[in-house]
Amino acid sequence: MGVIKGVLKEELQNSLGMKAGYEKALRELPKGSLSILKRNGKGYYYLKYREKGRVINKYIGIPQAGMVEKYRTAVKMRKKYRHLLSVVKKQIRFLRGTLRGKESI
Amino acid sequence: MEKSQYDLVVEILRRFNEKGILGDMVLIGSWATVFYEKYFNAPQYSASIKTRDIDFALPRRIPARENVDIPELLYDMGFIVKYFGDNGLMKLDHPGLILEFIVPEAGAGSELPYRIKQLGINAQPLRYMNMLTENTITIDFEGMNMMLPHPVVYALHKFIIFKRRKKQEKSDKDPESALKVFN
Repeated sequence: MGVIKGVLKEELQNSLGMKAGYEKALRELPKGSLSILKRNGKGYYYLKYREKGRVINKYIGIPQAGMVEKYRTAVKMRKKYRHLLSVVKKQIRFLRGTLRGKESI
Repeated sequence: MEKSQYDLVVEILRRFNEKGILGDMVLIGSWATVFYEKYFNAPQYSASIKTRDIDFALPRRIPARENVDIPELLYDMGFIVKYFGDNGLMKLDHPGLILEFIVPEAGAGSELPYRIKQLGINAQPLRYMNMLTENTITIDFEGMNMMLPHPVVYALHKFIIFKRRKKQEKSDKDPESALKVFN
């Protein structure tokens, strides 16, 4: 295998590792998001998440200290990781396509 | 919109600077040649091709101060911690950049990563790093003081290590990178 293909193969391995890393990071984020429903001037906290294709709104009462921030961060990082995962998948597709070429470069 | 690679590097430098740790680090590798453009200020100079690898050299002992957890500091940028090889060398991974930390090898040398607790990282010990960390220049980049290896030492280091490289493609690039700086 030529030098350039060697570099690309290493990049492909890096990208596959990164894909696994982002998929793991996504699995480890807490599921769902917190929402507040206001009734009679009071706020009621619900944890909203998907289960078997259905959206569940679970009443959680007064959230524990740090919980609101934890879920706010999780929502932000889920969006970030999904975007970066899509970038990595494009890199993988490009690298696999290039490596399929028969030239020994 | 995803930040460009250069924007990512600037953001990393900015965060390190804000936490007071940029002054401990010397930016080495191909990204140093990008910032040599500021030092040389010569139109005929052009940096080596930027890669995804960005390396920072650190001393084995850094001044005592409040701890800064680098993986935590860069968490919201989407960097994830990856461990490589049997020795668990740590890198911070992102589709645009792979961040690695290097320290000078001590004594007879060891393949084990060197833990820097104050920064929450482990660093790879490499031979001849002292050359780069003990002979530096400081440039002003967007109000931050950035340390780079002195260009002459950078080039000499490339000539010394290129024969020791395990990977041919890196070995091929080293003399080319050195000559760009010398010229």
